[in-house]
Amino acid sequence: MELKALLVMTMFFCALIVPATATDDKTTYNIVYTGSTAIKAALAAKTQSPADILKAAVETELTKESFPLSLKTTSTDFTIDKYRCTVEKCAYWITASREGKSVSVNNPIWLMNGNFPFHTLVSEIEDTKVNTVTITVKEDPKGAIWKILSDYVDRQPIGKSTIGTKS
Amino acid sequence: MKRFFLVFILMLACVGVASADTLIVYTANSTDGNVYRGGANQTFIGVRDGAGTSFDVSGATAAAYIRSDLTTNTYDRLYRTALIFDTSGIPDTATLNSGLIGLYRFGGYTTLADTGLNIVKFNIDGTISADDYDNFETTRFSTDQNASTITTAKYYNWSLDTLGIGNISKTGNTGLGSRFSFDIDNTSPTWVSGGGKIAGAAWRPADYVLYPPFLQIEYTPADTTPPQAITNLANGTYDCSDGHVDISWDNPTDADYYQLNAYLNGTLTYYGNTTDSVTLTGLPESTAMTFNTATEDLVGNINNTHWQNLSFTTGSCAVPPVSNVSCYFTNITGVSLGWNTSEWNITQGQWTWGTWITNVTQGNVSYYSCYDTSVTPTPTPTPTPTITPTWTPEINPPSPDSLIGTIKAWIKNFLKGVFS
Repeated sequence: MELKALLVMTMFFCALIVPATATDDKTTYNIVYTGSTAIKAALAAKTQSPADILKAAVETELTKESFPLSLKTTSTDFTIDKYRCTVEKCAYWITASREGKSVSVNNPIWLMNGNFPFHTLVSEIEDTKVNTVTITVKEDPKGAIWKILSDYVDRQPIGKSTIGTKS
Repeated sequence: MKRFFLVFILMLACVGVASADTLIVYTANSTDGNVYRGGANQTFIGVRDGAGTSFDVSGATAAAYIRSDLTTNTYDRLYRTALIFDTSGIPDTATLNSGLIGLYRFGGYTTLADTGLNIVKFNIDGTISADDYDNFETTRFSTDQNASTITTAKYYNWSLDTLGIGNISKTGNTGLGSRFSFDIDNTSPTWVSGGGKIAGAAWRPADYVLYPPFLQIEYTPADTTPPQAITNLANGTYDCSDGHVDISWDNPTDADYYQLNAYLNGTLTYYGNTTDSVTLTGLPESTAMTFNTATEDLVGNINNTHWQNLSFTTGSCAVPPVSNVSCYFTNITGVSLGWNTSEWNITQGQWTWGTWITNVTQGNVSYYSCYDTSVTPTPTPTPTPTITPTWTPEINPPSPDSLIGTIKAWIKNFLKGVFS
């Protein structure tokens, strides 16, 4: 009888204990950098400003592309018609459409050279047993910019685009 | 009616077409994080209005929440999120039209209570520290979004109202904060027993590498007028020695003139506002070139309506010019000159015993040859001498046979005179 009671009580408490999930504030996060870490190393060296480092990295990548460049998000088709960089920031002129209708894009879209996220996600693995999340990222300025612009056009409503600074 | 229509059109022209730029900026590792007050069994007023006890700018989360403690109506933690954006990239004279702040969801907490989350002003006071706990204001810049609706890992966005837009700095950093409704309104949530119950939400900061907080600003640049075009665009002659051509122009007088965008056969090159000439080198000979230009001002306005274009063809360097070509023969009835040339205005010259049929005037002659018109010409290339024409009249002495005949005739006439 005592044994049965102990077993029942154990089952009861087991039911009450919620398994740890990786979404509470006790979660440990590991960030793994894969591929080239040239930008990260250059930033750490501090011999050049972040703006100079990232501008050079962006322009190196973008000169390999042909513009206009067509891209697609889950809901929006968009084309990067052209880009232009100053020392401080880079501008992108975009046309976008969603379900066959023009998306209201306020061109150009400027990104500060020194502070845009230049990594993209490779993988994200959650280990609930040890309450740890490991995210693997890689340096990919071009991919990061495409993601930023994709998110931007997805946020914008249907409507006529405008151009402020002319190219 | 016509007058009304005209006024309407003029009004429309004055208003112009709406135009705007977009700037998206992100926080950095040291410019976002938690500022909070911790301590066991505090009243709501105590945990809200007390001094900050700590801060964190290097964690993987940034939060705005309150957490209950075990003792009735007490709390052990209240978090506020500090966000500092570098908005100096906005032109100082721009008009700000809208602002949008995006925070990537890490967690939404409703175990204590559901609560709205909003954006407020954060007064920047050096680097983020515990002392900043009272630097968060209580005026909402947007519409609340409840923690119960913040459910998936994605960006949740707050559109800034007029006050929020007015808080954006065009010359430096903009401070904003994430705060929850109980904290903003100074209203205590209904305490729930058991401790560790939370109302609020948490976000991804820049330290998480991916998904940092962003601020998206739409603005109208004050200056949308491009500079005047350049004038007097002209090219010099082609130099065969190194294939260069000099180009010159006069820059516009606009105070904000920044640079010339010049496309040489479609390839863009920038020339600063102190440059008014350029030497284009390495150009191929006998080739059509275009040099198309548009001026640009400091804020990026480009004069696309007044392109100044130049078209020219580089010269030919194949053969040096030849002049004063001459040749002469004796005992023939005519002379012809022949030559190779690509110039259309050169024709073949021919001289027939004292009469020029065609005059030679100019040209780039690669070779010439002289030949007797009575003989089939063999146009062998000849080096190009410059010979001064020296036409020597031909003297033809009488032949012996004709001399004998003449003497015979003279004797015959003499004897005829004697015997008659």
